[in-house]
Amino acid sequence: MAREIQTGEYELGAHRTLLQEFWRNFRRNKLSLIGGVIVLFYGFLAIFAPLLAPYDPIEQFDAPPGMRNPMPPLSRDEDGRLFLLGTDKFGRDILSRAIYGTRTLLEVAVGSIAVAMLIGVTMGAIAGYKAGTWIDEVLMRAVDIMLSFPSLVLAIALVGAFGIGKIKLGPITLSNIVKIMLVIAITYSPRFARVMRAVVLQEMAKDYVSAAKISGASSARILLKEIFPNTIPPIIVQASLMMATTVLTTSSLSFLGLGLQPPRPSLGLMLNEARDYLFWGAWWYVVVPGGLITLAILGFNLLGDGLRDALDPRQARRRR
Amino acid sequence: MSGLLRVENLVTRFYTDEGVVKAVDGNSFHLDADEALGVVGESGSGKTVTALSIMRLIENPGRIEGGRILFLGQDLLRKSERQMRRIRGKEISMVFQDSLSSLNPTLTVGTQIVRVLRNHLRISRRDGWRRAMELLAAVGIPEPAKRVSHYPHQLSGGMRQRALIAMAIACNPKLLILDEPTTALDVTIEAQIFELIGRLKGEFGMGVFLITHDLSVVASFCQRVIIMYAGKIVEEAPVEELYENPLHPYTLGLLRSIPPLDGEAERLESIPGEVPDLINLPLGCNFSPRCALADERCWQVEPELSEITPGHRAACWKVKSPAATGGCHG
Repeated sequence: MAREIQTGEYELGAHRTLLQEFWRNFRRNKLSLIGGVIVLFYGFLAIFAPLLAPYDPIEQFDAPPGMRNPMPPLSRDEDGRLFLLGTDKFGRDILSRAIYGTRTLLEVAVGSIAVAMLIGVTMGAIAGYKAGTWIDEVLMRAVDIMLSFPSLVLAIALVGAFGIGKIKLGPITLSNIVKIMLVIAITYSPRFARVMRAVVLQEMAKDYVSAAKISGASSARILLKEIFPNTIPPIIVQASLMMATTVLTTSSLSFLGLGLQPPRPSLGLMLNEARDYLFWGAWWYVVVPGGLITLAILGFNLLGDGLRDALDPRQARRRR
Repeated sequence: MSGLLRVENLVTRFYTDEGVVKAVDGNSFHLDADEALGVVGESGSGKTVTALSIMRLIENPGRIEGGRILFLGQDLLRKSERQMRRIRGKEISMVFQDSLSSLNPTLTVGTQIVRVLRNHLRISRRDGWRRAMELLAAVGIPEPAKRVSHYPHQLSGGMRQRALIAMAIACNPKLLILDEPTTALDVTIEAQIFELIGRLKGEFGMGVFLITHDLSVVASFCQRVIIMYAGKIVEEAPVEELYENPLHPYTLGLLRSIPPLDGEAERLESIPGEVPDLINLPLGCNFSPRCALADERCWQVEPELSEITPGHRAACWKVKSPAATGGCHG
């Protein structure tokens, strides 16, 4: 009995060692730590948006006599309400809208990356495992075709095909935000497919796959239980780098009026509205959403680079 | 003759863009239970391809083109993939030379052993883990209860190789194929591992098919030896017989290329020339371009493997048997 209990303990111990090893490698790179902090900050903003935002993001406030909306940062209205980052052209609090906009942005980005991963990883795994067959050819040529479009152009075309606003697909009605997630997921799934196929091919050449075959395991079992765990690190890296791209694409679609629709707070849409006031000196109107988008992209990129360095099993092991 | 494994006229070819590679070209041999057969040859002589053919794991563009592989009297080449899966790992097992890449880096050693067990036996996870620990103890890994939950990179090379052997013998296979199992290890570990395999062989009556290019390992561990050259068996003999009375010029060359144990400081000889291209093999004897004894017949006609003295076969025109010279072909 004592033996079994021991086994359990040691197993936990070993798992912790892998994580510790990752953390040791990750911590070494200061830039990736900064990236991690930025991403955590955004996560915090998104999750606690209702608690952090001082006002309702769509409530309109009147400017006090002698002032006009948009009001600059630190102005107050007649009732003494403070607008820390100013108001927009309709008198809505920019800070609250930015916080909620961040939340929507991350919702779309995380959702579409999750769907893109699901589609892309499945396609890539099948193509890689069946490399050289017609299945591989069909899947990878489809991927080539999709990758031959600039991604924003493809996304715009897909929005055009689906229509703006919420859409009906037979009996299912998709809300606008779900539709945008799908559009972006379709646009970016080929990249995951390529990475996954390459990783599967690389892993299949390794002896442990032959060893699994020699021990009598079936193909499906080998792919799911032996190869798949080894593909997780590069896919995570790809996902965190793609998060940056997706943030940009989501904001671009909204900026062009093809993405999230008003009055829903969206950083891209705020930028679009701010355009008209740029030359009137309303710098806060454009700096806040623009800065948040830029910082998010920077954060995800730094984090992705750091993860790549820390998660690459060969490099990590070699450093031991 | 019954025997554990009987391979007859095995032909395995690879259809590459450059041409057809005759990796294994019509070889026959047998292996009994509780016997260790050494397979010696240079890289590319078809040792590993022979082993993978026995496991039926030759992949595109390779194909097993002919022959029979009788395992316990049943032809493995006639089995379905499903049936083969039940044989692999349970009846026939294999250990590779590179222990680090042969173990899955993301799984603990225990998980990997339990998987092999559960592929073939109806055994609970809990019993599987207990068995995994027993196996690790059996192959001489200290603190098996701790090691069982370690990842491959946390073990030393010798321990990994032992863990691989533990995996291979998990289901008590009747035939164990070892593909240069100790190449990456130092000599003391090598000796320990062979002692272990020898013990297991005796205990379970396992047949061992040992691929190596180290003749000293063969001398200490095997009962019989096969010498392969360019996809063909050129000589087969009991171990002592081969060392005392090597017949094929290639075998002679191999034996001369290892330093003698008595330490006489003679200059070691190497075999001139290179292994022939398996796509464009010479017309006659494959070894003829490198052979000092070769004459017109060697260049034109391929010699067959024929029994010279009982249990000692060689494929060479220049070998004279004490009874009938050269046999009846020509």
